[in-house]
Amino acid sequence: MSGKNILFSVLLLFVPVSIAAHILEWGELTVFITAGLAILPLAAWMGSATEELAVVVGPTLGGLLNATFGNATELIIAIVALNAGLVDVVKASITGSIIGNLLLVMGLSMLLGGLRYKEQEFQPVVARVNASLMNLAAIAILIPTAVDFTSSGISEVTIQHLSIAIAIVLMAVYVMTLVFSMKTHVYLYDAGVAASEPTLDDAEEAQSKLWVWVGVLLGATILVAVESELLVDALEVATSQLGLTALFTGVVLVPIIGNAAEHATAVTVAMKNKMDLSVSVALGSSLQIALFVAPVLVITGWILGQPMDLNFNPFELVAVAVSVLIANSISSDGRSNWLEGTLLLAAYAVLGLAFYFHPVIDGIG
Amino acid sequence: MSIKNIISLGLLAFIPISIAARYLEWGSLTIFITSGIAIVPLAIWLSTATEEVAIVTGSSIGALLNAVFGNATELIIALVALKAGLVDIVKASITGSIISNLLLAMGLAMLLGGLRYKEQDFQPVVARVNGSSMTLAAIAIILPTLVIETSSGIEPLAIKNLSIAAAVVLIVVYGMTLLFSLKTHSYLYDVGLVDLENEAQPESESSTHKPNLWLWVGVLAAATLAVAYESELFVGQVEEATAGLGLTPLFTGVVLLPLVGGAAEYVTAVRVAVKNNMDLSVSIAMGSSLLVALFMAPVLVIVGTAIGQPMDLDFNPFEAVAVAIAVLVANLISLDGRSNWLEGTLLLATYTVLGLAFYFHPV
Repeated sequence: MSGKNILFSVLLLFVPVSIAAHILEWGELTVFITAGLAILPLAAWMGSATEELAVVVGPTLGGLLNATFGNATELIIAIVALNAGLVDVVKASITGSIIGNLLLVMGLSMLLGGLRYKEQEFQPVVARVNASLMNLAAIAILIPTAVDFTSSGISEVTIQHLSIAIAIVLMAVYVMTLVFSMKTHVYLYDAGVAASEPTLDDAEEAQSKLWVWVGVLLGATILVAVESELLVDALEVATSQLGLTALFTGVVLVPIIGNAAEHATAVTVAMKNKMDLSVSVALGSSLQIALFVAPVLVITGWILGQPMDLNFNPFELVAVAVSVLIANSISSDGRSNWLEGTLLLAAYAVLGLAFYFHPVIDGIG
Repeated sequence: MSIKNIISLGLLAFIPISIAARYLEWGSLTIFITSGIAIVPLAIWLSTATEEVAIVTGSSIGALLNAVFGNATELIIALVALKAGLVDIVKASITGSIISNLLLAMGLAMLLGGLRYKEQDFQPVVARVNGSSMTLAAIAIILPTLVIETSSGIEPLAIKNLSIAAAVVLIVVYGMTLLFSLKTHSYLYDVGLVDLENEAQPESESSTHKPNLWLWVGVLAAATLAVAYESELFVGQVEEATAGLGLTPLFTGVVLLPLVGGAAEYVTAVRVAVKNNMDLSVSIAMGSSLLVALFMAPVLVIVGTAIGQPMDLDFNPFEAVAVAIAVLVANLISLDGRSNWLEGTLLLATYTVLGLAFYFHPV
């Protein structure tokens, strides 16, 4: 825990460095890298602040807070990018976040946890519920692509309408999920919650720090927005200097930056043998992307006048389907070992390579 | 039960209304809607009569009767539409029936059952057997479409022959399924049947039914004829009415037709789920979609060939995707033998998403 804290404190130094790089014009690539590094500790602070506040305000409100701010970093980066008109990168980052959480985060947790413990167990019931949700989310997100692919041509407006309708269904399902996990079937999720509580401070002590944490949350959110602005501004030039396509940037780079905090949490708790929490962080995060972030982005894009829809590159469709399938089949038995982690990471590596070498076709990626 | 009676008696009033609408020429949309509503109570009577006759004739013949007449309404509508040359709508209604049984009927049953009971259990063994059969059926049905999609062009005759061959295989598999569930492994299905009988007994003792055999046969025949007549009305207007509503034949076939033809099963599946008889509910929903895939689809292909309509199993690729999704989701959710309201919601959400996609799908 302390190692993580030191690392993240040091990384905070990149906040002024990136701003300096931007103002003193040290080059787009420098701005891109330093802003990306600066977002990592800020995301971690946002995560801690959300958790602390969640403890203070009680389980129901706290759960809602976690549900809304849990993927705030990704959401902020995506909205800033959407506002800048980088619709393709934003779309790719949705699939990338799903893939990254399912394969990279869960894979790293299972591998590093498995190196220390021979076999680790987690509640298969929750994993199964999450898997069903993940299936629905993947299907819903990929349907517009499938419609486009199986028809002789579909107008932009139709795709947009279909995407908005699907976004509304997904949001409704997300609300249902919250009701299910926090009201009607709380007992299914008890194990995970109980495991997370001992790591947090005494509730009374935290009470006095309520306003401190609200301040931290606000400060971190604003800084993340600023850094996202820098990152997004430099993104196109920097990635083309590195020879990367917009597809690869969106699918691989942006999610790694946005999800770093979850990566750290999931791996840390996995190494403490709290596999329940680790899996639910990874699965929960990708669910949140699919059921909450993606619909919010579609609706926000519609309001901002950016034609954000759910029509993805067909290869993204394949990649999401593959990740959901592999993650489900590995998590459904409620046990993990280091080989399963390796398999997930290998799947991620293979998909990442494919995205790296994927040629960009007529403005899709 | 009383609600079902009210529906099955009250809605019968739409039969004369629809006939009046036809002769007084109240417009195609009116005829379409009234005949569609009139089919719902007839379907309920048809299935009630089938069940009653099945009880009288004993389990083996009765089960066969159930197996053949179980989806009689859908089959009649489809045959009438096929005769009228609406091949695209008939094809779409096959995939639509599979999708709506698996997602809509099972989803509603799990949601409404789950609102009353925290968790509901059902026999995973039967669900698994049905799941495997369903997977086979889905593969067989979408195979001709895949052949077309993956080749650079194929003669219509080859597709036709492939469809007929696939249809024969499916009918043989259907026969095997009946043999398995009625003869060699009937113990696996006992729970469901016992429940079915318990279900039937409180309403009216089964022994007192025996003298009524001919009455119920009469009801069966009358309901069948009436369904055929109403289907004629319904199908006669389907093109004009749906075009007036701005719906494509694809959407009509996939969403509207199965709703009209399958309403009786949906009502039964939900009703038994609310009574915590999840075994029966799941087996109605899965069994019905199996019947469509293994029996109705092949029969339609063969009848279409016989009456000279170009009916084959060449679907719109998106229908193939939708069937695959429906089977996958339904299998995953039913595999563990438990259900709760969220799972029902997920099935319904999947159905909604697919329905939206079909609505916006440009043909």
